[in-house]
Amino acid sequence: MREILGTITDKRVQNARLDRRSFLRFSATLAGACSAGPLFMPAPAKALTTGANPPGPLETDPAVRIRYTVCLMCNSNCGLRVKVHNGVIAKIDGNPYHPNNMEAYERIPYTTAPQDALTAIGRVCVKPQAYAETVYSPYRLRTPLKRAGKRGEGKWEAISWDQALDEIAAKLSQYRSFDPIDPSLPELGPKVNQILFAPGRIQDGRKDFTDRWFGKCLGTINFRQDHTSICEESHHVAGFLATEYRKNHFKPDIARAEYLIWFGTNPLEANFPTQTLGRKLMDFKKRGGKMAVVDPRFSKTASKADLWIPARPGTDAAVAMGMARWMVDNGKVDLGFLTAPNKAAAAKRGETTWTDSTFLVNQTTRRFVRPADVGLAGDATDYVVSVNGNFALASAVDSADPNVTTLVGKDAAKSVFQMVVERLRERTVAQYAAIAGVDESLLVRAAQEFAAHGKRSVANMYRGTCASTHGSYAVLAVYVLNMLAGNFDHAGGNAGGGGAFNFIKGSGKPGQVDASVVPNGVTPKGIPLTRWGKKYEIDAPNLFARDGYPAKRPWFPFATLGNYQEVMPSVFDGYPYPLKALFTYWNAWPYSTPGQREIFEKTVADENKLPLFVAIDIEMGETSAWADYILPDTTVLERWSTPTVAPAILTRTNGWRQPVIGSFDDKPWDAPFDPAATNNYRPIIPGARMLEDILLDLGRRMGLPGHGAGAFADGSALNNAWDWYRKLFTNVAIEAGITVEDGIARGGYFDPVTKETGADGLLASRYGNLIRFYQENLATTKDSMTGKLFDGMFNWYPSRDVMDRVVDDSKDFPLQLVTYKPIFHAMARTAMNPSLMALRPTNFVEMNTADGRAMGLETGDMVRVISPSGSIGEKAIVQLTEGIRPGVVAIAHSYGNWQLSSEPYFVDGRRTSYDPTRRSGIAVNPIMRLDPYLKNVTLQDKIGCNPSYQETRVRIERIEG
Amino acid sequence: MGQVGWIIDLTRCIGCHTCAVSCQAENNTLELQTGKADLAYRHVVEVRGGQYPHPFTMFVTMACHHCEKPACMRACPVNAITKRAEDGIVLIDQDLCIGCGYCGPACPYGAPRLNVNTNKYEKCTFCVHRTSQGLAPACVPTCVGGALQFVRDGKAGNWGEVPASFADPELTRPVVTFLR
Repeated sequence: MREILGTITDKRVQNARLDRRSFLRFSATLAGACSAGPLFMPAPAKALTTGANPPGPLETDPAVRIRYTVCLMCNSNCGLRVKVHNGVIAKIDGNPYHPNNMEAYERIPYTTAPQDALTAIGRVCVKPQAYAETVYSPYRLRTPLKRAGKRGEGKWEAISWDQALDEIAAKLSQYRSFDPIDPSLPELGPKVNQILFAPGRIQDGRKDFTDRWFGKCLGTINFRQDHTSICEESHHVAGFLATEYRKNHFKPDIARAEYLIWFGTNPLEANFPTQTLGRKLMDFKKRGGKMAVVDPRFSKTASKADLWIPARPGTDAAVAMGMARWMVDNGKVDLGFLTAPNKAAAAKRGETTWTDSTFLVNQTTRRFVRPADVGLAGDATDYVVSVNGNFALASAVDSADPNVTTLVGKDAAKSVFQMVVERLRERTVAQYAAIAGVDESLLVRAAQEFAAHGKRSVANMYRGTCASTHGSYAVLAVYVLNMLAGNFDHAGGNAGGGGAFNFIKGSGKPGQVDASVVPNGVTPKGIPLTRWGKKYEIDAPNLFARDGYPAKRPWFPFATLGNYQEVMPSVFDGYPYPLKALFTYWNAWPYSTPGQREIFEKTVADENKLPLFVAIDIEMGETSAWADYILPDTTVLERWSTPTVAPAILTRTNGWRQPVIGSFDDKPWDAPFDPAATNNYRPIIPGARMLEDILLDLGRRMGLPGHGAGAFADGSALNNAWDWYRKLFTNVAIEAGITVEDGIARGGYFDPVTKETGADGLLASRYGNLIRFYQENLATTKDSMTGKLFDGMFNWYPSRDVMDRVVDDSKDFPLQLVTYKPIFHAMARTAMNPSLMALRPTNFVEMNTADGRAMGLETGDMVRVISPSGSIGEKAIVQLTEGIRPGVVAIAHSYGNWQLSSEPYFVDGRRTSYDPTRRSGIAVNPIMRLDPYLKNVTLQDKIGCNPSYQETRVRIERIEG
Repeated sequence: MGQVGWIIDLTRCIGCHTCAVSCQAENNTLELQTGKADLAYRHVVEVRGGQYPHPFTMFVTMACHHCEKPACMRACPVNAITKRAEDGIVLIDQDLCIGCGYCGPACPYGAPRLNVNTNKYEKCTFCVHRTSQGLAPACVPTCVGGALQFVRDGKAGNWGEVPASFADPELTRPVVTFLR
């Protein structure tokens, strides 16, 4: 302290709670205890460290290094600038080079030498300001643990890595058989498919490593079943459907937009990249931009908006369709854009995108009319349009009729736009408003304002819209607004983003390697356990012949990222086959997945249903508490990956996540990083290991291909984590024309701050292709449960179960439950951070003041929250607010962690320390509504796989006394 | 030559609390044994009002305003609080502070806080260890909405669009300007 302030005054102006000497003593204890058991304390202890040093040190301190990496508190992947002092994290801020963190007018040029950037500080949100608390948590696992009692009993023994990996290798090798699981059902594939990897959050670079390891080295088709469905898979699938699988994510070009309407999303606290959207939106507001928010809650974004539409949960599609209907009825659509049938026609209108509006659809077959159907000579993949009553090839004309009803042979045929208009006109604007429970004038006002700004209006949606049983259709309904405006690729319109260089294989330049290739590797075959991406009748003909409709559990032919909530119920049911081994990684399944706690715990408790369960985690958690083995991982600030960013960023961005503490090859903490060296990583907890190092060691013991010498396509070796990331970083460096050292020094590669718009006034980075209103593939695929064809277009539907029966619990459960996240929380991890928990130590049952008073409730009262599928066991505290729609209650996520080192467990017979404040508040997911037909999984969207977070109804009961 | 001070844009503040936690991380104010943030030098006030369907929420970030007429300095019975001539930063000397607690309630903005481990009062130092070396205070560069800025040549009087709940600035003459 003295030396820092010595030049100004010798007076002390603050008392450091933790001086540097005692902190280093603590972290040495942490580091030295690799073979000892966890800290033994006689009573529950709070977090022992904030992770921060006393005020200072300054960036100019000789014992300070500034290192750049990438955050993973949420999925934004913002850059981080980490101030490391004598090997210890002192402060975290944003990376001033990274576009997530800094607007174009403030970002420092990539060419700035790092030594000249020492005092440049980038913006970052509240969560990584507390990241050191995750890294230095006293509850981190420091050795592998092996279960010493029953599953979930909480009894463990600390074992060595050798013992852990030898035992796991032996068991896993038994299951790595390429004989068929069931010779009578050959479509299921080989027995190795009975090994499944379920990461919660896994990122670019690391995800590719595990895909390679589990898929091509081990050989299972279940090489990754990650969390995406519980997040927003229906958003992604809908986007893919609309763009023929080219793009699943668009964000508004906020910097140039004039009007924004946000459906079911709260970019000032959630969505991603949160802090980027927050910054851009505040610039937008100061410029006079106007926005509307559709949300049952008066979110922070709503508080900054000009119009709040407090729609009922699950009715976003009705609001969007009501607006779209008004726009169509009042001629406020860009008919010029909509009548362009091909790329050249679009270009003549100054557009880079076009739609299927004019393409004709046979109403009987539900398929597009093709040239041969009308006697035209043309490519079989071309579409047929109508021009003044005459059929023509879509590729051959500059314009076609949008409103067509005609005959093709004996079959009725309509243009897609005719179908769009008819679909919209199935309900009046007043009826859409009634579904949403809002006044019709709000929809009309939103439609007028949206239409008034032409292509500088954008409608954006996220989880509130997609997380319902018709979530994919709801997302498509919001796409309709953007398509009617024709705003894709426009400045101020809907942006596909700047993308990134391909880190896995580059583009075939000398020096680049396709790291995903495994010489002598396996090609995984068969049906994934959760039946995603497969058609029941075609991909599983024997199973279909055996069971018919309904399938025993639903199939998800349109899913692109699996189905997280279906894994455990499928394991329990043994459908379509039983599982032998499960690996989880950074996974909080029963906590994060709606309606999953009971089925998860019931299933994993049974060793017959799941013989082997290995968890990889940084602390004890709701999932890992049930494993047979827990292998300690390193934290985000102690690993590599190659994260990319969302389309809010219009320039090419390749983040490089890299360890900021720990050491390489036992060199000092501040030795410059040498990409040519071996770079064996030693984390600050020596008993923890990077995931890649764990799997490489396991794979070597099993003799899997793709390890050691000759592991890569160029013959080079894969012995440690750096060998993998050296390849990825090199691929990017060659694409970008930089050295690996350049990227290491700045936390990645970021295209320069150039104009984000092209010479033609459109965005420089563009989607440039077809966008579909009509999904022929949906319309011609049968639902595996009902045997009926799927609806081919956007629509609003009420809550439905997996047999498409309406679910209506309103009689006994009068209130609708929604959840949300505050900006200082993320998923299952931020209860670990005392600084973040201190901002709001508990969550509440937030309800409308009038509703609460009518029930005789006041803020602070204790209540029970009951749904048709369960009841929250903890006492819940009421908070009355004017900021929520009557009839709705909201409960924030990230509270009520029942096991996040929030309960003690036993290692080698000694009870561990724990932090019960991590348990504070209530966990809402366990009471989310189960599907009444399947009973052991939540309500879900069969197209996009999102479980429903918006269709649970509850009642509130006062707890007396 | 003026003194340090704040500019707070109330439109831009999104109530994310990043400034508060950044300050906490830089100045190490989290209470270790309890996980409480009562010592936090900066905090974000959420002001709510209105009635459904027209509620409002406003966020105001608050720390010490290094006033021209600091009430804390006048209240201190042992002259532990001084105001620097070179930059106007108001500091509580931890060696002189006796923990009497007079400065806390004297301040209209709640800036001086009790450190329960030392039983003395501390408050925002305008990151004097940084600002005296030409660097920014920890709360400013990371502000997500671009709401919080600082000046080195400020003075009291230009208070701008003061929020209704903010104490009368004529009392202590805080060096802060509110924008909308």
